[in-house]
Amino acid sequence: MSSDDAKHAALEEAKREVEEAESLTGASAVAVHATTGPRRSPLVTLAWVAPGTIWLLLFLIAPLVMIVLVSVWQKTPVGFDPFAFTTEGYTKLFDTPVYLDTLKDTIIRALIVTALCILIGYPIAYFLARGVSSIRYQIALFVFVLAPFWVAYVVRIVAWLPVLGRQGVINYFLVEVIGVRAEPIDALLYSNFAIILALVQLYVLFMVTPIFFQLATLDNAAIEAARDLGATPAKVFREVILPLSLPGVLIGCIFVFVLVMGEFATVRLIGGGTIQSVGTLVYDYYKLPDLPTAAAGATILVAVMTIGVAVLLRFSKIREVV
Amino acid sequence: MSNPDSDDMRRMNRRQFVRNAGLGAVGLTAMGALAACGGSDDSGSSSSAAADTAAAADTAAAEEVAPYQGTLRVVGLGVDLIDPIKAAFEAATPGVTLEFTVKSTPEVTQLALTQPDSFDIMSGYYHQLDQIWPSGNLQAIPTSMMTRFAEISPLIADGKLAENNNPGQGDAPFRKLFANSNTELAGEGNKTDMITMVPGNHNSDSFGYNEKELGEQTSWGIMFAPEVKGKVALIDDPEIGLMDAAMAAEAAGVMTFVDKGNMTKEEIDEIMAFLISKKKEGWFRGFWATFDESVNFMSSGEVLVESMWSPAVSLLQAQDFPVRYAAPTEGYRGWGGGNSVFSHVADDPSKQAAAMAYLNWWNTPEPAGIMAAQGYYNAVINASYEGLGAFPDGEAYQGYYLDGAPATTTLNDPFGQPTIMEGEVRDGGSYEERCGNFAVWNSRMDEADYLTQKWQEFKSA
Repeated sequence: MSSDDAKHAALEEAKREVEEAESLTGASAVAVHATTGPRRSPLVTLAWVAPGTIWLLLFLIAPLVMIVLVSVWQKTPVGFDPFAFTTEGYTKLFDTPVYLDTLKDTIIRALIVTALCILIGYPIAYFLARGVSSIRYQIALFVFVLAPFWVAYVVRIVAWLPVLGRQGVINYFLVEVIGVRAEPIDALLYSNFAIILALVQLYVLFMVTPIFFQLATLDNAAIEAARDLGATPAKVFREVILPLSLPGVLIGCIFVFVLVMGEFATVRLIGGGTIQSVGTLVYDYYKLPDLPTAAAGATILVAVMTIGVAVLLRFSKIREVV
Repeated sequence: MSNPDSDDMRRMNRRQFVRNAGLGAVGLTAMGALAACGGSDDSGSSSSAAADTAAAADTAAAEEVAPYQGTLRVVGLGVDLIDPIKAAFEAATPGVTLEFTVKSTPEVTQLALTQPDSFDIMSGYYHQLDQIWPSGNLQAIPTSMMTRFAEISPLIADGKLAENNNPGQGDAPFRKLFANSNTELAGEGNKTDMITMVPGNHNSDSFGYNEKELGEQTSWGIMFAPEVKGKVALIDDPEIGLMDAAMAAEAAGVMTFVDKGNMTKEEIDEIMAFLISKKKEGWFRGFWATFDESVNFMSSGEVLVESMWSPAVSLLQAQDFPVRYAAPTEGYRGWGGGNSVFSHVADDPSKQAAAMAYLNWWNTPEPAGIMAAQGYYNAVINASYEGLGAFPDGEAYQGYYLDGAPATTTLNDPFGQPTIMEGEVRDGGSYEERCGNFAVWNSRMDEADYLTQKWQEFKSA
């Protein structure tokens, strides 16, 4: 029984970590079970909290405040005038439908990529955590999943060219080998399809990792109990494993959604410059240079991302009650 | 002096050399002596004597100037801020190190406007000056301070190499070379005694095309010919990309422009409507932002014709890829650049002298040769001849790059890579031919902001 107690403690620990992560990402804090640990002096607690707080203030809050400030400053031919406030940066964005259309495309793309990452990432994580019993193989396979991240970002992107290109492997196969097409398919590369493919490949790891850790720390006793009570494997998964792994899925969703919303390098390179995201649009304004409009574009993006994350967290709280 | 100089003496000599070069008062003699001194420490009496004579010839102002020892911070473009240039200047100028910050053109503009104190020298294009010059962040340079001012190519100074040449529309260097003050450009036709930038490199750009698939092409119009549908790329730059598209549209008979270097709103609307309709047809394969992307587009067979830079074409040709750089009958799209000194540098006379020495050094054979071996022309075209002539097989380099003759041997680029094979002839021919017919020069348009907005519409269409 003592081993079960240990697992219980580990589960509690994992839960608390998840909750801490949630509160870090800006959720209205789900009550942290401070009472479970040994009592600490307030000074020690402060010492633990201080580095993170200072870090966030300096590198998250301060830049965000600056971006919002710049977005309402007046653009001049030589940069911007910080003492003249104007909403020109925002009105310029909405003069044409470009920004709104791009924002819509970006959100849809982020949702599609997130959904695909769940579909692909969950089975991988499930297999790693529940299908492999030896911890050694688990670690080995997990490292294997990490492998794409050992390759430089740009290389990972450029590698798609010989696969998806007009003279790439897939088109070669379709046209030359099995001959189902007379002309190569152009839409494989420099298209929305290619961008989504590359983004899923790039970010699926951010979905696999939290789900894997969530599943690996599942309480086996709960599963055994469900089985003993006559639940079918499908029902065990649906009623026990899936609900308990949802916090991991949620964290994965936050990672992937936020990363894809802010993407611009992949979109730029895999899209061949023919497809825009809010990120590439902001970068174009930055290059002009029109910093206030770039900042306005970025501010709206951050606001939309925050709403997206808030919605995800709200969803999770509902699930926790169940 | 048969014995090696004492340390003190050597340092003294170097200081004098740097100072002399810095003031540009002694020109090439001192530059030669400087190089000699950099090359060997005990070069002895001849160079030291040259320096003494030169020092005596200096003006009174010169005597107050202490020799500059330290770093010159240069912000500019990847075209000319390359390692061989840095190494050559530092070898020729002991005591001065260069710190290169390489940025894209808009970023250089932005830095020159917003962080002028972070750099000493700007290396940029003439078409950036409409934006930068009014800020007063850069110094107008008296023509007397430019060592080889009298030798500037007539193309850069007057707009034409020969009377019957077409100077082209847009921000040609001769329209932006002269200044009235630190904040005001002189404008076309006003040759004042001050210049905005000491002119460095220029070249004529066109488009690259796959000769195996398309045969020989001499018109921008090929970009909208039916056989290249879906296989066209443009440079992702609202102004340059649009100019290439505009020349293609004009050549294809779609529309005409009063001034492609400074389009009106109506012209921008018309060409953009055309481009957007073409994009929706799937006409464009991509818009490239970097040199490598342009090379990949062409070499992977994704495009058959695209905006391209001449070294990108050479790179593929050296790999036997059947790409050619067009010599369009409608004319090239030209660009020209140079170096200017930030205003704050004037507060430090010794640094100012060293900065001026750097500017003038660009018109000497060594850097001109390094750039010419990549296909770029120096504003003092004699410097390009001299620089290429100093290479082993110098005549082969001069013949290929400047005279339009077939290469008599394999030619290397400044990084030691063989780029031109024996027997090749440069697309477009000699300097006089390639720089005798410009349709337009890279430009900053009055409607630049509007244009950028429309370009974004185009890209997200």
